[in-house]
Amino acid sequence: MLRKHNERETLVFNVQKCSIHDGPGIRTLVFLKGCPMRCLWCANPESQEYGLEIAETESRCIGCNVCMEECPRGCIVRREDGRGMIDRSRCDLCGVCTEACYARSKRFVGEARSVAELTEAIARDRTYYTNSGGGVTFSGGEPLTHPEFLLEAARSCKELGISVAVETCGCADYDDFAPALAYIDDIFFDVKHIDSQRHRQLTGKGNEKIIENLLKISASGHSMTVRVPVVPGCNDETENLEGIARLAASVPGVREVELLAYHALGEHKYAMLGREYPLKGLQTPPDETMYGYVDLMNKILHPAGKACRFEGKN
Amino acid sequence: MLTNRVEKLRDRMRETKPHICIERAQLMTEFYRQCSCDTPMLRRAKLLKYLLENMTIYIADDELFAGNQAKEYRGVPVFPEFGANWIMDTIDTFSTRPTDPLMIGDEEKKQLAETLEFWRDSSFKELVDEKLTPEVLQAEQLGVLSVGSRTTSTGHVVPNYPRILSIGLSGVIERAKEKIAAVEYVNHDTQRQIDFWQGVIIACEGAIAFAHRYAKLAREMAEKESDEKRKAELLQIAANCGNVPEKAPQSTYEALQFFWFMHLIMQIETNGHSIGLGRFDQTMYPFYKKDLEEGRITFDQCVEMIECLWIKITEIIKVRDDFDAQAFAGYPMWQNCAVGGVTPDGKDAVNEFSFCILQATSEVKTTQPTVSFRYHDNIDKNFFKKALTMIQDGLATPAMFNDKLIIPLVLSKGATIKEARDWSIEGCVENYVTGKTDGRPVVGYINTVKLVEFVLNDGIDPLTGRQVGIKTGDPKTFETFDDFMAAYRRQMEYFTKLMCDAYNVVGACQANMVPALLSSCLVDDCIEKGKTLQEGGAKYNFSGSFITALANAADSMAAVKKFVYDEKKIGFDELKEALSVNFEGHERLRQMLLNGAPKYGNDDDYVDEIARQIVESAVDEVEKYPDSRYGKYVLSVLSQSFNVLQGKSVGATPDGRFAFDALADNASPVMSRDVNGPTAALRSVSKIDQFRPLIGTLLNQKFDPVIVKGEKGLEILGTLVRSYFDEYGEHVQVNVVDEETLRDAQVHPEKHRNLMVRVAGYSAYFIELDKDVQENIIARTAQQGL
Repeated sequence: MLRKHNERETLVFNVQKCSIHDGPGIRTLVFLKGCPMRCLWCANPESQEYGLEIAETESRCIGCNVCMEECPRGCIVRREDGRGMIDRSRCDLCGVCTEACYARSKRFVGEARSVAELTEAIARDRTYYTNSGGGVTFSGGEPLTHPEFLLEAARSCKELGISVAVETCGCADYDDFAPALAYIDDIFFDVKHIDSQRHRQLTGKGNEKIIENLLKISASGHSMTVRVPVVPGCNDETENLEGIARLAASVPGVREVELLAYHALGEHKYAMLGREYPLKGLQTPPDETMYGYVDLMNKILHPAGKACRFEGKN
Repeated sequence: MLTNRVEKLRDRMRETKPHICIERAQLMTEFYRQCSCDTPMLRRAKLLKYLLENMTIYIADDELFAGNQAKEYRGVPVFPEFGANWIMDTIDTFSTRPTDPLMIGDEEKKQLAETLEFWRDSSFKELVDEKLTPEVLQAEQLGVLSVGSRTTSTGHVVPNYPRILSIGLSGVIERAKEKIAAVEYVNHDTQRQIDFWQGVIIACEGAIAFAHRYAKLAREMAEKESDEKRKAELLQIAANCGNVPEKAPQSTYEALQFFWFMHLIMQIETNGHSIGLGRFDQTMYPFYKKDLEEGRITFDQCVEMIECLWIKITEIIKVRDDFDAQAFAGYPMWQNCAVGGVTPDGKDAVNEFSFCILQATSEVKTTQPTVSFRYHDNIDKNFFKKALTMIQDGLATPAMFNDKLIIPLVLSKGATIKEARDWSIEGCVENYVTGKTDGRPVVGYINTVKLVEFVLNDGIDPLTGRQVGIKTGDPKTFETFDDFMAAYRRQMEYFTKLMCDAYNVVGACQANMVPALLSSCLVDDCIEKGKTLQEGGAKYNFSGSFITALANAADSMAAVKKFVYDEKKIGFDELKEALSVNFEGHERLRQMLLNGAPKYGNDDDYVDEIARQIVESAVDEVEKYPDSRYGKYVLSVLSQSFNVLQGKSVGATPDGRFAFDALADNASPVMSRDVNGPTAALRSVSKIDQFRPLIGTLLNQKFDPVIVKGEKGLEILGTLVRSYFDEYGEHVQVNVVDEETLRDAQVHPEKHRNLMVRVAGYSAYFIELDKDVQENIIARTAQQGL
């Protein structure tokens, strides 16, 4: 029975060790592929699709042209500088070019990983988790939209005594993921906008289901950190931040609010996937501005015995 | 906060460029010009006494401790008896060479040349080299291995300071006299012992006379001194030097002065490096405690004294040739000071003096001594935190050592449990029983990836076409990877024997030609046995050898295993062809080797297992042989900055490395190939069976300051150290510095005079390092905030 579950697979696009930002202590971050939302500022565009994709890193290309020769559909086009780039309108993701590309300029994003294999990889840093109070954090994409895999993976980590956290945008079906909650110690729950219509403009989805899930998870007895990525011109207006603060103050399961400053570090990945970055030129809000938002939210959170925090660069 | 005094002393040290001092060379040559029938033992003892009686002495302004190594401030003495030809050959480049330049004036250069002429072809180095085989000299010349202790004494002396301080040198003399008196029957063996004891007496008398000269000088200076405060200080110095090292010290100040005399005189006696402080906090605490109880000292006063001492210790430099200056860049002397750890009965040994040491080290920011922090699970939490804070601040010190692994390592070298708990470092990471061991760990460095080159080429060096290795067969005839590994082991077997045989010649000659008397009487049980350290007088005797480029060898063999054997993607002909032309026209193949095969440092068992076997094979081979004193050969995974230099003798390698590029340092992964964060890198290294290299495994890690900032950063650092140690790592040293800072220091050295980095088992000022070594340090993957 267990064995069968351990063979369950899903697409994972990254396993990042020694992360110190998403949960207590030293953690391994597991990024599951696929997300129902399309946030304009998404720093992991490769996380959005549920299927495999091919990423191209131009700078790694050595111009050997073997991919062009081997592509069965002939859809790699030689540019003036000698490098071959995929014509994505004709590419059927057969992956022949990724195998031919020793320079790893063209490579698949996403790899099918089984629960057993992933647990083994996570468990390698067990000593470091124990000594730091860390563990594993499932992220994505949207991990709650892989409910069966998440259930098995979280359970098998817990069996090894590894603490489990989840980072979620909240946009998933509660009944599907509820069984996994029993194996999850910590939840980082994003609330991006308090107004559903605006939320839809920014992310492609309304926020009704998200807020409903926040309440349901709270009712199940879990405690959460609400996270707000603060994106200038998108969701940094006072009303929104105050609205989120009021929501966080009123939901018993929310223990704190954490603000994350928008950054453009994911921008180059759009190019790797042949896409346009929607927020070109947008700047990271300065630390002082962020601390201003923290004060703003704390006015509402403090009376409820909660707090907002932000970790600045300096 | 530095006191005014310390600031002045430190600035003077930094602002004075090291320069060659010819006084010792002239004095010792004068001495050797007098013919004598004396045994080398007595001749060396008398030489030391002669030097101590005739050297120029001075007490500089503001100094609290008396004792100088050379005629002028920051002078670097020359030891022509250990090597003369190379100095004559390279003297013109000393002041202009890129690494560790040494100034010398024209007149002095002329005089030194005259002096050295007396030693042409007759110094230790030249005489010993005549006794070595052409095979080993060729292997050394081609960068396969090195054979140490030929231009220096064996060094690596960690005295039994608690014993010496309790009896004073007068007590040592008395014991030597008792031993002479107890000899009932004299034959040539016992006469040799008697010569030794007499030599000890002469050396100790010389040391006492040296101190008395300072006492007299300080009194004379005090008489002329108009400043009352300084006058009192000089009188105190006079009193101290009148008492120690002759008698047992009565205060912390005297104990520190005693230590400094011994430490200094050993480095006047010979040019052997790695003269250690042992467990300095354990040695000094009883004096400090008594002074505290009697209200004679404060924490701050003690810290100031240690700071003054650290500056004196940093002033000690020796002349090295260009090769060594590059291999050991940054004027290191490996004067190692252990703090923390456990007492002989297993309790936490941290005391208030331990805190004084860390405080002084963090304030004065000298490159010497190297402070080694002995971590164990019950260590005083504040003490551990203080050490982590220093690392976090980018001081690159202290280095972290693991009691949990090292105590068993010392036990398995034959110590009792109480002795094993009393270990400290001789050199970089070489752990031994304090005060009872002669570990002399400079047997030599074997370049592991060069051996992979030999396996690929049937023992022929592809760069010269010469048969240097043994014939292990055309690799095409190896049916499995195990066969390939077996051939590697045979190359290791051959070169280890070549190196150990050569080192036994060196070791025997050290005993017969240039024994070190004063150093010997400070280590147990030389006096009891009536033997010098070089003859095996210490209670425990070892010779330590090293391997370099572990990560390149592991990555190279992993690539061969994967692509030639497992996947059969390439054959040896194709691989060797690409390597022979340095991948020109074979970039795609190089990319495959580089990106397609597992790389050490990423917690990947495939390649980590190969690294483990490489270390195991080196240990298996070296432990087969007795050294020249019937001691045991032991191994350390350690390269210093030899990795840069030895890289210049290796062609392109199957790990995708271009010809002549630097090799990986110490036990660290190849620069920037550990891409899965610090935990994965640490885990790869902890998969080496670190119980096998009995004298340690050196690991460098570099962190971006952003990841380790603040309270959380301290916890992260602490966790990484503790966890690595829970998985039985011996040692880790951490540089917290970002690339931007290092780059800026290259452009504006004047702005970064304080910037220290960990090179290997020692720290150096970044701006004093050679460009190649600087680049190498920058290239070590910075573990960034993820």
